[in-house]
Amino acid sequence: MKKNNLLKDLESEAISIIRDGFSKSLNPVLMYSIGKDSSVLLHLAIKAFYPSPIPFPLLHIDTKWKFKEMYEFKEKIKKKINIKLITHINLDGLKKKIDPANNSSVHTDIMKTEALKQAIDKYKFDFIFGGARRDEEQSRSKERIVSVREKTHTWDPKNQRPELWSLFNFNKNQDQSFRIFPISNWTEKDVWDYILQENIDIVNLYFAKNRPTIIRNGSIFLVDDDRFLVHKKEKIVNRKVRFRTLGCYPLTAGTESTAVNIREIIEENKKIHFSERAGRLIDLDKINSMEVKKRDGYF
Amino acid sequence: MTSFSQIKIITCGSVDDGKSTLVGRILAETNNIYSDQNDKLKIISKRYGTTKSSVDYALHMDGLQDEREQGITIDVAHKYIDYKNKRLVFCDSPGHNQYTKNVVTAASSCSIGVVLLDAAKGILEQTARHLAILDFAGIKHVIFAVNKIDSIKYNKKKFTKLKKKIQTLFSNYAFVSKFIIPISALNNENIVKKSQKILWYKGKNLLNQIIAIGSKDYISSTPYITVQHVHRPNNKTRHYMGIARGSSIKNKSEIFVFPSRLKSKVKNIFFDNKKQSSTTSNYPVCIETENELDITRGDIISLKKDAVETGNCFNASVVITSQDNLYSGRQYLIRIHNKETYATVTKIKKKVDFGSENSQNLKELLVNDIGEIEFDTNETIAFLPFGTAKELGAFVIIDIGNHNVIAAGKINFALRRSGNVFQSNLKINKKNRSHLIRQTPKCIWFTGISGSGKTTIGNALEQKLHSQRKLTYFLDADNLRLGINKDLGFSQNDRVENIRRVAEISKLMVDAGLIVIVAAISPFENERNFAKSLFDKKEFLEIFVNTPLSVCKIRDSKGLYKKSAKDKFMSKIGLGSNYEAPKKPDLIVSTERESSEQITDRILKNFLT
Repeated sequence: MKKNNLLKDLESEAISIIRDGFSKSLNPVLMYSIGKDSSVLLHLAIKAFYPSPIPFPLLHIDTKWKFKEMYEFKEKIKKKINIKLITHINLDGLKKKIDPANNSSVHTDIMKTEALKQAIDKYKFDFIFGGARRDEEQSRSKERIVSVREKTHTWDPKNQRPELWSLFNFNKNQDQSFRIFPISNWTEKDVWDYILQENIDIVNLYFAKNRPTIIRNGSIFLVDDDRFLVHKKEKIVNRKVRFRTLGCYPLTAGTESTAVNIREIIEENKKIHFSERAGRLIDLDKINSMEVKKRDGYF
Repeated sequence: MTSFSQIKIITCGSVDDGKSTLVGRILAETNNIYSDQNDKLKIISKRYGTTKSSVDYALHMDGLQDEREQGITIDVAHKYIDYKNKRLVFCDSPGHNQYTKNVVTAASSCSIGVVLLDAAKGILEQTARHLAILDFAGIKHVIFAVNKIDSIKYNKKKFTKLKKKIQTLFSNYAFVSKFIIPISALNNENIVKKSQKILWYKGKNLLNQIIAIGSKDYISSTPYITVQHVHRPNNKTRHYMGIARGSSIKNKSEIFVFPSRLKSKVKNIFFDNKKQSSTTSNYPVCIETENELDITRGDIISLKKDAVETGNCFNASVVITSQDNLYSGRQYLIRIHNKETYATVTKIKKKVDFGSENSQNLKELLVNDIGEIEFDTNETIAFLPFGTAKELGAFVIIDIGNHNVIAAGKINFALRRSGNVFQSNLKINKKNRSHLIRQTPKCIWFTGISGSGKTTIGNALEQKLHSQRKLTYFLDADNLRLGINKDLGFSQNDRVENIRRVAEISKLMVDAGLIVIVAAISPFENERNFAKSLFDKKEFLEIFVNTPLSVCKIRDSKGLYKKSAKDKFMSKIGLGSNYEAPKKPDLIVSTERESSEQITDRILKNFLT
C-alpha cells in the first residue's frame, strides 16, 4: 500500500479526469512535450486504461529547436510504448527561419501556439489532454481543469464555466474544443515524488551532468548545436548543470547542480529560491506574457 | 505513521475584506513565494499596488490582467502550500456578487471555509450569501476570520459584539465546527503566529486552526463503483471503469447494478497496471463481470442490493450560476455522478432571501439565487441524497442550447410520486392507428416572428393535405391561447410553458395517427428542441419561416407592431427582438420570394411523399 496519501489522491483524480473526458470525446489526443509533466501524464493515461492500450494518439508540437536529447528520448518512448505519436511542425513558420534567441515571443507564437492550432484544426481534435499545472504560473492558477476554447482556440479567462464538484460539463458547441488538464492540482514537488514512486523514465537533461554552456544575461544556456550563436565575449565552458523544465534550448536556462538522481533533485529543489519557470524566457517577455499566450491559444 | 494528505480551503467574503491579501500573506510567511516571483511582484506592485508597502501580496493571487487593472478578484486562484506535514490548497475566491458562480466552483471542491470579514464594516450581504454557499456545497468546518482588527484598535469589546452577530448567523446552519478568529492579514497578526497585540484572544492562530481541523476523510462504508466509462478491448470483453468507494469489492463477489438491479459476479479486477484480487477504496479501478450485462456510463455497481435509491422525481436545492435564469417548465440536461439525462423543472418551491431582492415570483430563479426546486428526469437514475453521499447526490443543470452550467444542485430526497406514476401499457398503438388511416403521422412545426406568415402557409398546407384525403389538425398557438393556454401571459416563463403545452398536445395527436401542423412563434431554441425530443426521428419537421422584421412590421397582420410602438408592456413581449433563429431547421422558407403554393409544394415534395 502507498504511504503518501496525497499522491494517491492526486493520481486518483487525474485518472478519473482522463477516463471521464475520454468517455465523452469523439477525437481525443494527448499533448506530449517530452518533458517530465508529459511523462507523468502518459504514465497516468497508461494506468487509466490498463489492461487496454491508450485509446488515443499523442501529439508532439516540434519547434525544431528542442534539445537533442529530447528528440532521442522521443524515439525511445515510441519504441517502448506501442502508441501512435503524431509530430506536427509549422512548415510555413519554419521557412521564416526565426532565431528563438533573438525573437523568443515571435518564435513561440509561430512555432508553438500557431503550430498547435494548426494541428488541432488539421486532425479535428475535440478533447486535448495536457500536462499544465496550476502552481506553474499565475494565469494557470486561475484556469479550470476543463478549459473551453472557442473556434479560434482562444481562452476567455473572464468568463470561465463553473466547475462544480467533479461534475465536469463536457457539452460544447461543434466548433469549440476542450483543453483538459488532469494534473492541474499537482505541484512540481508532487511530480518529482510521483516520478520517484512510480520509477518513470525521463529525459537525462533533468539530471546534473557536465555540459557545454555559456552565460547570457545571468542565465546558463546549453550550446546544444552550432545553430546557437555564441557572441564574441561569451565563452563556452563545461558546467555541471541540470534543467528544471524543458523547452526550446536557446530559451531554457539550466541551473548548476550536483543532483544525479531523483532523490537528489527533490532534496536540492527544497533549497532553491527560484520558481520552476524562472528559467523559461518565454514567460518573461511581458508581465502577463503567459496569460496573453493562453488567450491566444497556447497551452 | 502520519500520512501526508491534503486539506482544501476556500477563502471567501465580501469585496475588499482582504481575501487575496490573506492568502498572499500566508504564502509569503510560509516561504512559498520564490525570489523571482517576488521580484516580478515588486514590478507589478509599483504599477497596480494599493498598499503602502513595496509588495502588494494580493497581486500574487490576482494573476489576470483584468483583475490587476480593476483591482478585484474575478476567478478562483489555486495556491499550494506544504505546512506541518500537510498540503494546504487555498482556493481564493472573488467577493463581487457578479462572480458568485466562481465562489460556488471553489466551495464545491473544499472541506474548510474561511469567511473574511472587515472588523470595521461587519457582516455584509455578501458575507451571509457566501456562508450560505459554503453550507450549500457541503462544507462542514467554517472559520470566520475577523480581518483588519487593527482598524478597531485591537479592541476586545468591539470584537465581542461582532462575535455575537456572527454566532447568530451561524445558528442558521448545521456546521460541524465553527471558529471566530481576530486577524490582520496586512500586519500579519494571528495568521501564522500568535499575535502579541491581541493577547485577550486565547484560541489558535488561523493556520494552526486549519491544521487542527485537518482533512476529514471520506466516510462511507457502503461499497460502490460509479461507472465512468465502459471500455471494449474486443467484441467479447467489456471493462467497467470507475472510482471504487467504501469497503472493497473482491473477485467472485456477487454484484448488483443500478438502476436496472441486474445481478452478476466479478470476474476480474484491474488497477495500478496489475490484475488485483480486490478493489481499494477511493481509487480508480476497472472490473470485468462474468456474464455480459448492459451496464453503461452512469450506472452504479455495488455489493448490496439496497446500496442506492432509484427515482425520477426529486426535491433539490440549487444555486444559480449563470445569467440565464432557471425556468419552471423548461427542459434541461443534468449530470449527476456520471449520469447525464434530460430533466424538466416542475416547480420552484423556495428562494432564500438575503434582503436585497423582494421578488416573490417563483416561476424562475435568477443568477446567484439559492432556492429549492422539484424536477423530473427522463430516465430513472440511481442516487443517494446529498446529505448521505455527496458524490451520489450532487448534480449540475446544463442549458441544452448554449451548454452553460445554469445551476449547481443537490438532491434532498426523491418524491414519492415517482414510484406511483406508471405508464400504462395500451394495446392499440400509434402504428395500428396510422395503419388504419393509411398515413404516416407527422408534426410539422412552423416557427418565425409575428407576422412572418406561419398561419397562412399552415392553412394552405392543411387544405392541400385534406384534398389528398389525409387526416390533419392545425394547432395555431394564437388560437390555443383562447382555450387551454388562456391562463398564460407573455412573460418569458409563460412563453416556455405555452410551447411545452403545444408540444405535448401535438405529441398526443401524432400518437393518434394525425398529421399535425403547428404555427407558433416559439422564440426559444431550447423549447423547440424540447418539442423535437418528444417525437421519433423524421416524425418532426422544423420549418423556419424566415421573413425579415422590416417586412413583418409593414404587414403587421394583427396590428401588434403598431400597438407595441405605443405600449411599453407590449414592447416587452419581444416581437422579434428576442427571437432565437433555428440553427439547423429542416427547411427555411421565405414568404417574400415564394408564394404559399410554392412553399406548400416544396414541403410536400421533400417530406410528405
